Amino acid sequence: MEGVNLTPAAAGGRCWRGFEPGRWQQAIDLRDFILRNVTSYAGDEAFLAGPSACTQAVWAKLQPYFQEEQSKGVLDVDAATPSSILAHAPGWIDRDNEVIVGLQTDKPFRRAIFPAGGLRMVESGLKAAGFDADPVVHQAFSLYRKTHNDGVFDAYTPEILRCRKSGIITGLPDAYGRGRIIGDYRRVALYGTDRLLAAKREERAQLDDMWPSEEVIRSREELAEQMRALADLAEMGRRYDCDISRPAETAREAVQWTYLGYLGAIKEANGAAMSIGRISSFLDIYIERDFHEGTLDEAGAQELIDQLVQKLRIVRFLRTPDYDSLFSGDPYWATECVGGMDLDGRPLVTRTSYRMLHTLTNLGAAPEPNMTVLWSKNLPEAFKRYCIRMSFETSSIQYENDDLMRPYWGDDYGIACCVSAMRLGKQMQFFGARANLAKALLYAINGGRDEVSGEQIAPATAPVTADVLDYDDVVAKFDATMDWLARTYVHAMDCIHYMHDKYFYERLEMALHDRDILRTMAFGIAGLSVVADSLSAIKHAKVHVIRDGTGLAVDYRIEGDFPKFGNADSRVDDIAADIVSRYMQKIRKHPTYRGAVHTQSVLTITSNVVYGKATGNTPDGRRKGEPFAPGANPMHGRDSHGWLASCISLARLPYADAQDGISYTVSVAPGMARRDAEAAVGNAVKAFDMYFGQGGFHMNLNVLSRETLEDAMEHPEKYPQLTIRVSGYAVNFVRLTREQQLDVIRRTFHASY
Amino acid sequence: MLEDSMGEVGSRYDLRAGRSPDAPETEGYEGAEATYGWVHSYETGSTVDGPGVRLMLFMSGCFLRCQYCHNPDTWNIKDGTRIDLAHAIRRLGDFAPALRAMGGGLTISGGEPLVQIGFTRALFAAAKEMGLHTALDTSGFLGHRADDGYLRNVDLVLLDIKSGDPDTYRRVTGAELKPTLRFAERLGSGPIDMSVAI
Repeated sequence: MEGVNLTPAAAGGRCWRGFEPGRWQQAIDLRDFILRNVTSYAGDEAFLAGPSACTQAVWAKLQPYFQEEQSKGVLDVDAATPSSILAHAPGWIDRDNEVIVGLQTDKPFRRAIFPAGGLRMVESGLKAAGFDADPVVHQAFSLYRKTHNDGVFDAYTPEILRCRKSGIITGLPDAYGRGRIIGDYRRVALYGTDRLLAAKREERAQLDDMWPSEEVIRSREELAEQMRALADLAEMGRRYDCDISRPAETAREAVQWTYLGYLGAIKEANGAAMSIGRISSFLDIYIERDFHEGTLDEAGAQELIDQLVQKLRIVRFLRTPDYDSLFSGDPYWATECVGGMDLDGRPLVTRTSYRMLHTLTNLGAAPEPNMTVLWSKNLPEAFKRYCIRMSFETSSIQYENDDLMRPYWGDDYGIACCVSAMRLGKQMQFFGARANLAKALLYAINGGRDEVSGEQIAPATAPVTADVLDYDDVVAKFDATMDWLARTYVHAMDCIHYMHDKYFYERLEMALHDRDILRTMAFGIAGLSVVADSLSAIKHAKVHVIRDGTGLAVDYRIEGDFPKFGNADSRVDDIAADIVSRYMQKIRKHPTYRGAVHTQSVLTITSNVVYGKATGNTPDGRRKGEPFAPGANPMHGRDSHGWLASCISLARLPYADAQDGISYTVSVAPGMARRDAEAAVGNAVKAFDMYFGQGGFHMNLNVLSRETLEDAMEHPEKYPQLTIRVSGYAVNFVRLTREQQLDVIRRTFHASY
Repeated sequence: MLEDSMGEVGSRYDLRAGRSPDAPETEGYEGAEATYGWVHSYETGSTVDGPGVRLMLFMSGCFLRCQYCHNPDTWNIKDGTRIDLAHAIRRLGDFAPALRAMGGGLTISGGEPLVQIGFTRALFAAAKEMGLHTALDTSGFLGHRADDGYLRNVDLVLLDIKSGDPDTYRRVTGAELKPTLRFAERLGSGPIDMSVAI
């Protein structure tokens, strides 16, 4: 460790004054720093302050952009400058009032392009937004520079292309940034880029004596790229008059440095999800120190967090129409985790956890950052109640089970995207789309032919020929179809991530990781409740097959009733749980790129609408083209016995076989909350403790009425900030497509807590 | 006056017990033993029908014909779904851990739970074995059927007296008030929690 192992004073100097010393001073170890220095807070929200004059001034400057965007869509794109850490000149919104600075490009709401991901996507995004492609960029990325997208299609097989086209596998990140990587942006604040560079040099030097296997060569090249990225980041800081080569000295600098690290990342990569990690309680340590030194007050502390959040709310990427149909409303998942417990049972709730959520009050409800509360039964009661109250007011918060995740991921994990936990700076995932299991069930019945096009997609097998579906026969055929699907899916993902690393490597995000990390490969499934209900219908009722002239099963007639997922009925819940585990086992059979650990999620974002559109009639009675339920939700309206029953069904899905997360979105009518808010909050806290205590993973909570949403569809101008949680993220309701709005409205609304 | 309020032939009040040949069967469910019951529906999540969060079970069958009844589709026993007792107990078990975690339990309503006395007796007993709080939501009209053994498994009686005036009671419900008052007195002298709605 020579050259890195500096004395604390020399390494951190004035910047680390007042901090409890520890291992974090000798090595890059954020967790150690946080656990030694964090001040848990068990009180309530009475201390919080409103927005400062500067915050309000900046916010006022941004409002016209928001309004114009609502009517126009994409406001501006720099089509001539491929984005990178240093590609764009620095930009400001309102220089005199910005306490935290830094924009993605030189102007607010001016989007950047990322042609290394794929030139066609850039150009189709530009076209959809009404902008011209740049000829120089076009030439560079078609003649001289290969893209990730080109690479993937060089490696795909005809079978994968068929699956992509039929929609049985959808949303593969072969045409956009994979995202789901969380740089540990806190490292920039705690250590400064010089120290991080020194650590990377050390990691690189350790490889010098190693024989240059493919793995070693790749690692050396990646470390070289990471070091360049850190040097660029320091330069970007200088352009904003921030010397981030050294650690942050004050709370303002800590917020600023952390944000600059994040800003560098979103200048380098346009991943579908660009989580910021778990920064609130880290920043709280700096705020507490400034409080003790008398250099900061509550209004000032809140101003830092408000202004950081303002920046996160104006991040925009140029997307294609295809992408928008999967992930609607311009999300980018700047997911921030608050709460959770440490391994010794101490709550990691700080005053800045409150300050982060309080931005929903100071700046109004909003989808970003994607506020994620890590729920534990042992969180302070006052904090639990505050979170629920904020949910009632804003529908902008999601909850995830810290007591479930902590044994897997420790006490310093973040959530990538919606529900994907990963140790910060020590773990990343290869993200990848989801397989349409409802379609797979139909393929099983039809011998591998697509029920919509009639084309042979999966290898030809014997179709079901009986007029009434037999449970054992269908399950056996479905099992074989899942075998094929899992193999094809892993195959596609391996191709994608090989090429993504090669042509669109996230050099800055990875610079903010350790060299040797755990990689997961995150598969996904869609249509779980459709499949579970279909199998339940086949087992417990009588399902007749209706075939077209070519013998293709195109519809089903159900005789009798059957148990439906979402009613705490183990006769069907067990089927759902079995599908999750069974499919995971099949995925695990196939080797992954870079030895990644296989995981899967039950999550759809808004793609449940797209999946439904591409899928024919299903044996559960769902009609062709109708949306699936989002994530792991019961089908719309079929969870007919109240929220408690739905929660019990959801809690039965096995996290061990869905370690990338199980998304559950709940809409509750606000009646009770209006009549007796405090009683409703108390009931909700109990309900959360129960649901998570039973093993539930995720609660994406909306508290709003169907009538409000219907009114917002008719009069969007009245609801510019109406925020609603969909599967794993939040969106401005008025920015969803009409189809997606109708889908949200059709979902089950439970009576109340 | 009474006749006026009964409504026209063919109206929903025409099914009042004792007046119509179509009145629901009222016999055959008084026994202590039952292996099945007729259930209208169940619902979870209520927080107003007893402490904590409740599983609400709505039984089919009622002897009253209240003018303001919210659930006239629970009047006739066989409008419900026939459910095996063993299945009902198994389903209650599905919910029991969650209900316990929220300090809640089982509330049986209806219809009138005391119509199918054997079935509800067995369910209340099963609920107590599962450590759940139990509540009986009743008009009290059939209170005499609930013997002490039955009430030992009931923690709370939600007694809907509707009216303390016999004439009004008769007009509104089509039945006599006296049995309900007798039941209220009996509960008043015992250890069970009672919540009275008028």
